[in-house]
Amino acid sequence: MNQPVRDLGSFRDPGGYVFRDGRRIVRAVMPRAAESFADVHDSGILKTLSDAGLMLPTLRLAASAEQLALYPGARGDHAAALYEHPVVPLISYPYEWVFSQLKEAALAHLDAQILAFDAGFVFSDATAYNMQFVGGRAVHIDAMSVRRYREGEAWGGYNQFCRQFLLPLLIEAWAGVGFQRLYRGSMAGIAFEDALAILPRRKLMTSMSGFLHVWLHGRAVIRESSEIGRDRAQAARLPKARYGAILKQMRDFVAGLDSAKRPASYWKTYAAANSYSDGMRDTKLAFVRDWAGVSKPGTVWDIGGNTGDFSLAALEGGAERAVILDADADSLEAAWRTRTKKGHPGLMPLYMDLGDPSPDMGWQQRERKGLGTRAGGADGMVALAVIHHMCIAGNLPLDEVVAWFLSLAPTGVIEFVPKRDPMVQGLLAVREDVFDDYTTERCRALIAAQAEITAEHVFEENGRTLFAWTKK
Amino acid sequence: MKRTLLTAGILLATSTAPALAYIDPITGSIVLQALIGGFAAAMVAIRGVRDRVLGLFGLNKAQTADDQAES
Repeated sequence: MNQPVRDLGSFRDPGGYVFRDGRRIVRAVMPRAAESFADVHDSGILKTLSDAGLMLPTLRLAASAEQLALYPGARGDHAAALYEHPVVPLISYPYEWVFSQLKEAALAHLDAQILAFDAGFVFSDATAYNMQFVGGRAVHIDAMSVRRYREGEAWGGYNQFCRQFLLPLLIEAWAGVGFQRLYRGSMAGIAFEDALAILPRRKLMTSMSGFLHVWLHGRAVIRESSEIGRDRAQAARLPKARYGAILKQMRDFVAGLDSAKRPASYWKTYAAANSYSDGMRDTKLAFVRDWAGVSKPGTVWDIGGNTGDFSLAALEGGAERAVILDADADSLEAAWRTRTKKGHPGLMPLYMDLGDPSPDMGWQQRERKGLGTRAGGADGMVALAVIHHMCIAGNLPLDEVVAWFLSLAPTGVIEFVPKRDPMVQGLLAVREDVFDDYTTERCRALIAAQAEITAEHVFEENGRTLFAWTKK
Repeated sequence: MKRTLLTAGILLATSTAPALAYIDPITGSIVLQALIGGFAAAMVAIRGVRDRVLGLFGLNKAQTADDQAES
């Protein structure tokens, strides 16, 4: 039997910890929280939330004393009760989402809070990291955030909700600033100081919601010192109706936000503007479909996947899920709106600069996992029309790029784009050709050194080559 | 004034780290909610009335109050 391993990101709440036990996810509840969490569980509120599609289901496990002893907490204690949740196939973080994904996560969070509040429960926090996407929908994954409402209490997660949901959405909706890079800079979310400097004053002064939640709230957060504020905070009582009104009004506010009109990115129209013919495109799609049909991968990572043409081909071929990794938010937004939400729930767009992917972050750099740490989750990978951007535009050595591709999954498809291709010619027009190692032969040899090349297709019109491979 | 001086004193005495590190961000959020909650309740109520009135004329769009307020 495997020893259960505590998730390295699970340590903040002394009431309980999440463990991975083989393929299962087990929540170990510590003695200090066992009674209150059992009360929440037995009340039926968790089932109400999961039935509404807003929270992962929670199942209580029968556990002997020996089993409980296998789940030590982070503070010298041991589990008093065990619960199980379904596995989330891919953990992603808010700085990897695009506007519509963050907005959906915010609305799902508020819907869960409103549903719970009307039943006499509240959420003890409002961190965006507790929201995950399963089957193209945002769900809350932390059942232990739910507890009974206490008369007169204020919304404890208000500040966190603003910093991790509202402010990033607003800087994109009102100022046209993509939130991802700023968000990645701090685990706590966007700072009020930054948002107040970025957001147009006109908006903050003419929108009642903007004035209250951002300007007034932001000023209070920046100015209140703990020495002055703590007495007042303890004395402050929020009538129940006002607590509920803040949640509902916040939901109205967020629901009305839309990403600002930004100049359409080059990449969004890339699929239509690229250099190759329709026949070549169809051949590439069929090649990926055939590969997926043979290898039947659970999760495919589509490197530089743009709006997800090849992800879709992989899904059609038999893959269960496809993750588009791309640094163009507009393309990902288009993929989410026109594909994931329109009948392809297995398609998950993820904002990722391939030359600078999400790092390990947070406490001891283990709290939030970098892309590499999560790579074990991929059963297959495709990298079409991307290698020249990484090697020529990004100056990454071909050896390392191919080695990285092969490290991601046991099988995959790689397209090599040679120097004579018009797209590469365009890249080389503005830089010196120092890329002696960048050849089809070398790419083939690098793949063959680690994997068996199961299929290969050369396009005569431009010399591009598709390789399907499976690691030895 | 006394309180401000006291706070300034505390901040100065501990100024080896950025001053902001000594400000509890949650406190301001909690204290302000009674005020914001009052406005929020009014806004939700106004929206409810507006939806009902528009509903009488069959004009009730599936749109939120802020959607119109902000645009």
